[in-house]
Amino acid sequence: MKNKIKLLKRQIIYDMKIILSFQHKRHLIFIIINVFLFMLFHRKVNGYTAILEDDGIGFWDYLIYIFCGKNKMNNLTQLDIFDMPVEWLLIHSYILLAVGTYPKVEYGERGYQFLLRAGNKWCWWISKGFYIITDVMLYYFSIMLVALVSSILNGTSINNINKDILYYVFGIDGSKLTMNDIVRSTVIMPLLIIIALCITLMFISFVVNIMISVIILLAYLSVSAYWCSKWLLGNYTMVLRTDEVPFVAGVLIACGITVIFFLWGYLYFNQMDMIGKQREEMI
Amino acid sequence: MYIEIDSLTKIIGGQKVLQDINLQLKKGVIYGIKGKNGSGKTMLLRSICGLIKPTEGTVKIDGKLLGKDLTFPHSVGVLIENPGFIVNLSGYDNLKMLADIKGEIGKTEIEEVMEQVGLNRNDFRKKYKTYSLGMKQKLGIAAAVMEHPDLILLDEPTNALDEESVNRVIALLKKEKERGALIIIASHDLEELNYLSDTILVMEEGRIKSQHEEESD
Repeated sequence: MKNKIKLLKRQIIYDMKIILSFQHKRHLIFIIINVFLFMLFHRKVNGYTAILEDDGIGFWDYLIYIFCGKNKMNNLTQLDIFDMPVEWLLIHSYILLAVGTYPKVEYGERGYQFLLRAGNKWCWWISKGFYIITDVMLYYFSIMLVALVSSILNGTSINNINKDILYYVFGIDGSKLTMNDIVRSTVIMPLLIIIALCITLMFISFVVNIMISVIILLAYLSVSAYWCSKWLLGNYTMVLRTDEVPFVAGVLIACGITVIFFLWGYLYFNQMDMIGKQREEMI
Repeated sequence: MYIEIDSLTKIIGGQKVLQDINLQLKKGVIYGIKGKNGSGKTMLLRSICGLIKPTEGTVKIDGKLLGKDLTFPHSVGVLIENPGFIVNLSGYDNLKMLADIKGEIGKTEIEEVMEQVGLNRNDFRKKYKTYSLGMKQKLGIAAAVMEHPDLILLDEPTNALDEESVNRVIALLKKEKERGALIIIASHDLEELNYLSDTILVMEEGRIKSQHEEESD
C-alpha cells in the first residue's frame, strides 16, 4: 500500500509538472483573453459615464461580468432572437477544452509508458482527477488575478460592488442580491460545475472520443443558457439566475456528477484495451 | 521471468487480430516476431504487457494470470508504435520524467543508457522536437531499457537507424539478454531478426505460423 501511495504521489507530481512546463502557454492565453474581455467590459461601462464618476469598476464587478449569464428565457416567438452570453460561454468552453481533454490526449500519447511503470490503472486515473481539480482552480484563479489587478489599477476597493453597474449594465437589482449570492454564483458554483463538466468530458472522451465529447459538452452548456433547469448545470454559474436554481441542489448535483463519472470512468478505463492510436483510428 | 501464453485470441472491431496463440517464453532469450503489417505482431506485444485483454485464452507471467492477478508485468520496458515523448522537453528530461515514476534510477544511469543507444552528450539537453527520426527512435529504445526490466518488448526498434546505431542497439540488447532479460522484438525485417534473435516466430493473419531456433553466433 505504501508503495502504491508513493507511485500515486509520483504520478501526481508528473501531472503537475505537465501543467507548469507544458500547459503554461494555455494559461497565458487564458489570461490575455480575460484582459481582453475586461477591456470590453470597460468600454461597455464607459457608455454610462455617471457610473464611473461614482465608484468605478471593482473586483466583484469583473467576476459578475464573466458569470452574469442571461436572464431566464420565456418561450421565444419567431420574432425573438436568442443571444448567447458570449463571455460566459467562452470562459467555460476554454477551460473545458484545455483541462478536460488532457487525460485522453496524455493517454493516447504517453499513457502506456506511465501505466506500465505505475503497474496499475487506478493510480493513473486518480492522478488525472487531481490534475483536473488543480488545473480548473488555476484557471479560475487567473480570472480572479486579472480582476484583482484591474481593480487595483482602477483604484477601487476590493469589497465594493458598484450597484449602478449591477443595475444599468447587468440589469440586476442590487438591493435583492446579497454578497452570499455573488460568492455562490461567481466563485463556488463555477469551480464545482467546471470540475464536474471536465470530469464528465474526460469520461465521455474515453468512451467515445475527444471530438464528440467536446461537442456534447458545448451543446449541453449552450442548452443551459437557453433553458432554465436545475439539471442543466450552466444555470448555476449565472448571477442572473441566482433565484431560479437552488444553490444546495447545485452543489449536490455537481458533486454527485463528479463522483459518479469519476468512478464510472475508472471502471470503464480499467477494462479498456489500449490498442494504440493507429488501430483506434482504423476502427 | 517465464511467460506462458495459452490459446490467446483477441477480437477487435469484429476482426480476429490474434488467433489461438500458444507460446512459452523464458528469460535470457531474445525472441523475434516476424510478420507483415497487420499480421498481429504489435497486438501480441500489447497482450504480453497487459495493454489489451484476451477475448479468449490466458497470458501468465511467472505463473500469475495477467489481467487478474496482475494488471501489468512487474518489470517491463516497452517501445510500441511512437514513443510519445513531450516535444517541448529535452530528451534527457523526457527520460527523467519517466524514470521518476518508479524512482529506481537517476541521472547517471539515464545518461549512460542515452550514450549506449548512440545519442551524443550534446543532444541530451536538446528539445525532443528538434530530434531527427533516428534520434527519436534511439530515445524510445533508451526509455524501454533504462530501468533494466526483466521483460523488454520492442516493436520495429531499428526503424530509421543507421548501421552504426543498429550495431549499438544490438550490443545493448545482447547485454540485457546476458543479464537475464526476456526480450521480444517484432519486425518485418527477417535479416535483422535472424541476426538478433535466438528464436524466430513467424506470424500471419494473427496466428503463429512457424517457430524456429537460430544458431547462436
